[in-house]
Amino acid sequence: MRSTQQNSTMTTPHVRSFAWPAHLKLGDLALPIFIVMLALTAGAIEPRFFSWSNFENLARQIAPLAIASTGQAFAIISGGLDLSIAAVMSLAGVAGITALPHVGIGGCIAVMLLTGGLAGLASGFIIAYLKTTPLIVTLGMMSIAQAIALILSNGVPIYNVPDALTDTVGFGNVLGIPSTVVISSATMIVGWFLLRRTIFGRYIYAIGSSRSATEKSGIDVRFYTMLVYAAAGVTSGVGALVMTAWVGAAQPVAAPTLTLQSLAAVVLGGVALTGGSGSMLQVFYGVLILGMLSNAMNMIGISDFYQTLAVGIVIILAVILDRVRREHE
Amino acid sequence: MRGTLQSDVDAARGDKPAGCSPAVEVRNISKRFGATRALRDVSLFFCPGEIHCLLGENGAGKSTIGKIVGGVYNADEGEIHVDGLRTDIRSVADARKRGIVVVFQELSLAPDLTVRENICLGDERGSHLLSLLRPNAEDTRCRQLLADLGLSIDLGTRTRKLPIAMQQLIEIAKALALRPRVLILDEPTAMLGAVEKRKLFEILERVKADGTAIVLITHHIEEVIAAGDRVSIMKDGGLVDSFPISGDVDADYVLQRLAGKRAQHTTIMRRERAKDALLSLRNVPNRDGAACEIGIARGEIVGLYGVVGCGREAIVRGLAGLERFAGPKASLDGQDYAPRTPAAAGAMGVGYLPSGRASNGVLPARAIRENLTLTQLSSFSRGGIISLKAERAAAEQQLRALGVRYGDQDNAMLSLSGGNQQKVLLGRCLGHAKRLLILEDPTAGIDIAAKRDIHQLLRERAAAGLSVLLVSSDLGETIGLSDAVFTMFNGAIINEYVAPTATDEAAIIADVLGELGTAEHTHRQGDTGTNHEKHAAK
Repeated sequence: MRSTQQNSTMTTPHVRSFAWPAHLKLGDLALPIFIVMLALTAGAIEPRFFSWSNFENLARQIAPLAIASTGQAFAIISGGLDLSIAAVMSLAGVAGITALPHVGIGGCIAVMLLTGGLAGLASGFIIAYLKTTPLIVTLGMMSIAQAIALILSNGVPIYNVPDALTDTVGFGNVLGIPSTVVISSATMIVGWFLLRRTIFGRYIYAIGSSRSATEKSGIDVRFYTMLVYAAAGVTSGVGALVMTAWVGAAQPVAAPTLTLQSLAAVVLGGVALTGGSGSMLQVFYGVLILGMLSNAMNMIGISDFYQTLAVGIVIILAVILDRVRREHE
Repeated sequence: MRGTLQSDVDAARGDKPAGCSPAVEVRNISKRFGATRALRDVSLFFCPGEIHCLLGENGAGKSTIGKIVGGVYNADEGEIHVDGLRTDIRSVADARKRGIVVVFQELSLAPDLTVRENICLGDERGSHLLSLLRPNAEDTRCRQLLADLGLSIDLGTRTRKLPIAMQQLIEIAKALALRPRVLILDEPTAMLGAVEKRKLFEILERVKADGTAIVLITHHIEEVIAAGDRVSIMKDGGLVDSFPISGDVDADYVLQRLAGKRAQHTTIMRRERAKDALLSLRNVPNRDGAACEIGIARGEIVGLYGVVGCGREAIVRGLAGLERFAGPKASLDGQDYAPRTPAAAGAMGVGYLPSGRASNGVLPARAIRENLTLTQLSSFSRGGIISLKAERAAAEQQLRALGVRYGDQDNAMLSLSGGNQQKVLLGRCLGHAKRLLILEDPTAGIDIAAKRDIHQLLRERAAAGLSVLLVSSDLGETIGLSDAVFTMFNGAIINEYVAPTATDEAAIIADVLGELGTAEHTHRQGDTGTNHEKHAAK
């Protein structure tokens, strides 16, 4: 008796419970359960949903959204948002393919990433150092990037994407997995790593949680805020690479709905719009749900009009659910 | 009253004194939040024309009572009686309809609205959604109200431009505009300096005289003695004691009831002021308008004391890197010191603990660990990648050294009590403070035990060579901690008190009220605006 007492006082409070991990809340399982239910429903209506080729198709379809949502998540977790993602993606694609004859494929990819990064850096600089709101600045950047993309391309798609790019990135495989899926997964994993394991990520969460407190703690809030938008810009560049290689053309208006979809995916996953919390896993859930919805409705043959309607309803439901969950915590 | 045990017990049970028909009475109230029992079987009554103080440490359940009566929470068990009738209070609006108004601890003013708009907000009486606002009528009403309260403020000023203490008084004016029969004030003095406090108590005396029942939630015993007619002491969600305050009830007696023991007065070893200053702030005007210098030596705690708006904020903001110095020039360790941002200050070994824990300190969405290690991440990372293992170990060790009571370092910051949050924030700014630590109200709104811990910690750090600039509204704290205190008034340094003691208190208060060379009492009678305002108006 005496010895057990001593033992219990000596053990630190860090003995993990074996029953239920303390950090795992029931609410965390809501989305995975919803995803499974969604899949089962889709499979029940259209058995082809559960085919390997459809899964591959789904993974390809959500690749651009996964990439855009990663950048969007950075902006939202830092307490802002980025409305320029799709436009910057168009600009980066057009710039990369325009430069391609002069710089080769490697240079083309570099130009895409650089264009995205610079556009983001410009937004970030204006937001952070000139103390303006992300909503308006990125809205302005959306217009500017879109305009430059149209000017550079004369408003028509540029089709001279070399086969080397479409074959390797657009339709190539790495170890049997489509390259686009590899790239989008890698983007999300890098996003996860940056957010969870680096000082940069820690500061993003801190700024999103309380900008004032972070600044007064002696963190260079402006610099890191600028980097957040630069990072979001780089993901737009990655998205441009995947889009141009897949479509086989640099389109001046590449994916106009992608920005709003990325916002929707991030919110749907449960990342707080107020900033300061949320994980890449949640972003992935959001992307998967939106992707599955559209994939399933396509297979069943529901028209685009109703799809848009359904997506809108799902987003609003997600926000209401999020609110309810927050109140219970 | 004080002598007989039986009468105290009766009071605790809720027996009313003769001539009181309670405006509000709570009977056997209990409330749970998850696993925490916030209130256990508490019965209280609030009489018209009486200031009833609820005293206790943080987490004792005082605020919960206020929020239940004010309609924010529903009690799990028990009854509320308003004017002797059992009543369910379902919402804040419901409470207001019954004449019960609560002024919460957090300010609820809309910063971009004017003083008038704020005071009239939610009190557009007899109006419907589309009825026109009547600025003139509102103006007259507000002006009257503020005059009654002895406040002289321009009604058209946006509230964000006013000092926080003035905002607090406006918040109270806003509550009074509703003409409450029961006014509940939750820690109304947390943001107030000595002068504003006096002003508030004057206001409360007047409101009380109109027959309003006032409930003052506080953890300051002096306030209870100064303003209260009755005190109810709470501890761990239960009512410990409730008795009227008569002439023979003093602070020691109340403390004894609160803590179960007499107050211990700690003695502090004091040192001579060292000559070589680590920080020197030159070109600060003194009382004669000439330039003077404030110096802080290594290992020294220097206090800067004055009322809100005396100029101490500008000095702190300049040293912390939040704004440029207008006149003064600072040097740190012999080098010019004019940080452009708090980050630049941090890089030079200056840590800053701002006042306003909720808005300027805590990262509400993040874990305790992340809140603590924010300033020290580079010491356990390589190439920008954090070693979580090293971070956890460091956090564990520091949390222990800071005396933080916590469950798991990955728990939410908001799961901690205010005092423990403050300790974590102190730990955070110590991450930067290799040379100088700037503290703004370091123990505002926290319980007595945590306050003692923080004072102890600061003395240890100072003894180990850290220089500290202390800017606190709490005069007792400033005197108790500082090796030297500079008093400020109207942007100027008035006096320096080396090794101050309680006997300097009167002189310090006279300094900061601008009563140069005169006794403190000469200006008091019938004086509506504070002295500071009179000077500012000139």
